[in-house]
Amino acid sequence: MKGPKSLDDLTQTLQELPGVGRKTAERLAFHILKSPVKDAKRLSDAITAVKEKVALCSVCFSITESDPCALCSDPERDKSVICVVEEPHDVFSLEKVGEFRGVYHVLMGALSPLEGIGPEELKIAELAARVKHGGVREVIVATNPNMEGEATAMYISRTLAPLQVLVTRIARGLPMGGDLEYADEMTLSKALSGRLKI
Amino acid sequence: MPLYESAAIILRSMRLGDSDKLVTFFTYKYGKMKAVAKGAVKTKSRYGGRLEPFNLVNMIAFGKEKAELLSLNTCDIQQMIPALCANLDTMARAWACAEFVDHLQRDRDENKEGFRLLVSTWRELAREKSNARQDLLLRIFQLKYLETAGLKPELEKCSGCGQKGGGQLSGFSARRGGAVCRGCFQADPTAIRVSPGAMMFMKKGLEMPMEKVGRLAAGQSVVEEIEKAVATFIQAHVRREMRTDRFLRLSALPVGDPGK
Ligand SMILES: [Zn+2]
Ligand SMILES: [Zn+2]
Repeated sequence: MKGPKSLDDLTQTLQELPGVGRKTAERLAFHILKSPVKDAKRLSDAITAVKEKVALCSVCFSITESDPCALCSDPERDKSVICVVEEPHDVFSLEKVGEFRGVYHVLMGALSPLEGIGPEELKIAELAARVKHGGVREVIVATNPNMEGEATAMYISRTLAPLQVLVTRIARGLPMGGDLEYADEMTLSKALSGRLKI
Repeated sequence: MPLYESAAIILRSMRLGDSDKLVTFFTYKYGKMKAVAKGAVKTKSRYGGRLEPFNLVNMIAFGKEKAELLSLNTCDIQQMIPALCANLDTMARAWACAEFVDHLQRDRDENKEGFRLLVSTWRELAREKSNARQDLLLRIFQLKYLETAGLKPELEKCSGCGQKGGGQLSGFSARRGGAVCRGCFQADPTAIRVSPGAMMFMKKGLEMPMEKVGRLAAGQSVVEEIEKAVATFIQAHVRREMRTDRFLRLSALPVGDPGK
């Protein structure tokens, strides 16, 4: 059935969101249509605000409303330790843990030979520049534990080698709450080689 | 719905949507096949690291007769070659092999010889430490793979006029399909010059098993000549950009002063 054009437009736009199919998009569109004007307005304002106010931090490239971001400008954070991640949302994941007191560096992706993503497409030169600027003791590479993430980690280590900074890689291994029996060979081998003295 | 069960090599693994992976398998029985692994990105996925490239696995997938995308059901590791990921240079070359197969193989077109060739090449790459030798392995692999795909370059006689004689062949023409004599070389502006040494290494490499190729003592310049000849051939016959090539050069470059 063909509805009013504005409703169709809304459905179409919602359907472009990740994980939203035709049915869900229709349900959401009808929900918005039925809700009070002030609620609908709040939604549209929130969308506009996020686009207008949120930008990338010029230091660490994580998303922020102020530049530099809250983490980069926090005097309590240890600027001598940089944790390198692939995407801005990785910063949120690590921050939830609340254990890391250093600062971040978002690469905006990972090296991917098959997709033609090289170091120029990532914020690797910017990372080297931060380290070169001085005061950095350790760079923790927390890229994803897959082939692209590993390649990226190795490339970073190679790039930073002349700068004589300690480059570490987060441990890859068994997920907590899991069972050894169900772990795959690759994870087990990484867990073994990354073992720690207790 | 048909079930597909086979030994397979993982050529490529890409994120698909929020939590799935799209895996390109080179199966022994059916050739190249793509399958979706549900939830494979999640840390608690039962697949774990099983879907990473370069793994030799046993896979079971199902899907309609001619479906482009199958559903992955099981994937167990048969063998891993961890040394392929020990450093960036080896990784880049292993990736280049995977990309080459991905580009050359059509979906569901079995190539058992190619399958075995890829596995033995990766084993040799893992054993080999020097970049120059790894490059030779990669290029000879490409020549041999072209042969398994019915695209073997002519190296015995002139591919232009048919004239025989090893010493007379002084060029390589992708357009003609292989080596060319002096006369045909001069008549073909697209042909490139190839030294008798490089010509011999290409011939030898095609003849011997991969396990012995690593022992060929080819110098850097010869490897570069072979690389060029193979590259022109790939350009003319495969017509797809080899994206990993950039990574081979990238990993050979000194980093220099990254602060600038
Ligand atoms: Zn910041
Ligand atoms: Zn000729």
